[in-house]
Amino acid sequence: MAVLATDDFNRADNADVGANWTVSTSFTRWGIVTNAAAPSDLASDCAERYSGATWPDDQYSSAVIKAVTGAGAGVDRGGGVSVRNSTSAQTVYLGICQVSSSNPDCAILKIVTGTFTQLGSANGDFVATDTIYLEVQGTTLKLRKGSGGADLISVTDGAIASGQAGVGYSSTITDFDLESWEGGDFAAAGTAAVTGTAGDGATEAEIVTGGATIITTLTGDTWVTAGATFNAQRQAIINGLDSAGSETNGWNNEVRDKQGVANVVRTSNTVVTITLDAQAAYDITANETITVTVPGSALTSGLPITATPTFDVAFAATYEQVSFRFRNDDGDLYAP
Amino acid sequence: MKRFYLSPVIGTGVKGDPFRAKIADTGHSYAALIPSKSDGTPASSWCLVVAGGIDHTDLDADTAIDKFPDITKDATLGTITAQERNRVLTFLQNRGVDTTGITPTSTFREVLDRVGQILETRFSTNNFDVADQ
Repeated sequence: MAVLATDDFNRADNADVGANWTVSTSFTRWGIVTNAAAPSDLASDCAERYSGATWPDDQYSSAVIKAVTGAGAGVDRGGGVSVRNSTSAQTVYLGICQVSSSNPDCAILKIVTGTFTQLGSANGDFVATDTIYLEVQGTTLKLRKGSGGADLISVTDGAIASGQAGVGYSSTITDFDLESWEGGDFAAAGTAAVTGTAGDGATEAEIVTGGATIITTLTGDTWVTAGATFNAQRQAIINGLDSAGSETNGWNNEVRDKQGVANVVRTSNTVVTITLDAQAAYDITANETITVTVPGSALTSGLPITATPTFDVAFAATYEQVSFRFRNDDGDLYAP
Repeated sequence: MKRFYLSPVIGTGVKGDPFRAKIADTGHSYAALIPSKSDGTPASSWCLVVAGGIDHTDLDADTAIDKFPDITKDATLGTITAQERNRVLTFLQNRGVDTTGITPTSTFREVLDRVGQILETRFSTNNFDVADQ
């Protein structure tokens, strides 16, 4: 699973959720109340889709409940999350919950061009701080308490093929709001391989001299767009070159913190080459192991990657020749 | 205890009265296979349901709901009586399900998949479940 978007709703009260959110067609908006997202009108059906990301058809939406109070007067009432929100019609899957001691308290709703269908209901016993999670993969929908929780409802439906993830509410219950939200997909996370004349292992002298390279090659991900977008991430890429050591004149102080961004080059969509600047003050007393962590901000996925393998900089001992002369008991120089 | 049923689809599709399995109004936890037409209305007047709950006597008493036998999905129809097997084949045929090839060696899973795939070709019993609470 990969996270494509998050929102902690931690901002000033507002009638609108925020810039990355769009009110779903024919629904009422959500707003921000006390650092949480809440339906703007508990007596109306409210839904917003996260329009600030590109959504694959297979997606999930999950949120931490800040408050859920009251049982709705019907089988299709409650608040929660949504998947495959249409951008042009009142069409969406909702995973919702309410509070009920006698009946099922969570459900999957399908709404197609404004027509409601309930695909299942179960007892989730949702309370504040629980996470409500809804996913759709192909034609299978699953509602859970937390992404790793057991399936409360698992059902097949092929009516809605695509759309955006978001939040949803079907009126009316007493109170409902969410303190954080996350949406994502099921793609395997990308990987990054480290090579290069430094990336394959370097000596202390090579680091001092400069010119050694660290080449990071991605698989299953790409670097952000070349030009200003990538250039803005070069310092973050350098910051991801960390030594496990902490010597005063070691890698972190003399190389990572002094490397210039000019020599961080986006060689292709999947390759970045860092050519190390000369660092005359680099001086270590033991080998250093360097880990390359690619920041999420530099990647299309937005997800950080710890590259492999680590590489070492080998400490080079320096020797000073010392000459000795020996005298015998008579004071004469010993001649071997 | 979870059991499988064929249930009428009820409701009008509006808020407060969504299209749903009749079993939805009984208080049982459930999941229902209800495919829709492009306008959101149900593609069929009946649906396949898996329902949870300790006591299923209310569902057993409802003549509008067809009950599948209470056997595991990997059990064969040979493990139920011939009378029970014929009852199942009869209500399936009454719903328009082609029962050709369903024999005492057929597993219950095969029967459920065949029924579900009439409603939705991509249906699999493996992805059809509800928490039994």
